[in-house]
Amino acid sequence: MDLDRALAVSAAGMRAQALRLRVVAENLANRDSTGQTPGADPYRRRTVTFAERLDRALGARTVQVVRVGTDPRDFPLRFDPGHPAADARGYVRLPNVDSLVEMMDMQEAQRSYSANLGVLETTRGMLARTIEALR
Amino acid sequence: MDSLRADPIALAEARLRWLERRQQVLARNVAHADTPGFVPADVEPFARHLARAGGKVMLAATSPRHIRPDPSIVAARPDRRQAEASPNGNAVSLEEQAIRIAETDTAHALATALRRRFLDMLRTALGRPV
Repeated sequence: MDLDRALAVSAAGMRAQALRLRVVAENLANRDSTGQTPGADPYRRRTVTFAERLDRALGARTVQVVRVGTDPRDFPLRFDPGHPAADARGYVRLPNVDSLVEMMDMQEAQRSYSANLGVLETTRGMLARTIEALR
Repeated sequence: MDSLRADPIALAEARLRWLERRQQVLARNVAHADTPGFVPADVEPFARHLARAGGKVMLAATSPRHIRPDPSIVAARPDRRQAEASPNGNAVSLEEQAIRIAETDTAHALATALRRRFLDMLRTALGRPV
């Protein structure tokens, strides 16, 4: 039934946005995770990519996170010779996480999540009315 | 299928089927609000769908193995006259989708209410308590 599919599509959208939120949380949590040894790589920011997916069992096209990739941007450098991860010149490579970007990403994920939730509630109302029509 | 126009219950059912399909298409649009390159879709208008489903023009089937299109299937097409796309090619406007979902919801409430009223009338005519 189409309404069941609509429910499943909205649920898939919420799941995808929740995964995105989790990745944002990981990025923010690792904002200061530098390497342990001299010259070691710090935490690299992770990104999510959404794509369409055909759910054959359901017979509908839903959304899913196809790839959790990494951000290829360069690591910012900080001069801190006393740091355990400092290289020979005394520079420490910091994670390429920009908290402002992560905040915006979080806002967008939350907005999309609520939109999916709104659709879910509307669909549920329609389903309830359809069942009511059977009485 | 001219009976569709004369019979309010059949009409309400066709309308409900169309609305359910539309809700699914709109749910898909909202789920893809952040998918790069996604173009939202919408179903054909109900009047056109009804005209097609009740139309006389149909593919000729001269053999039982010929496949003919099912006129009750509601077609969904990409909706390109939408707002501008974001840099990643995504053209979903959540506000626009919200309006359409609200429309669908209201129309669904109306169709179920009309169907119920009509059934009540039939029950009254049969002399049973509503």
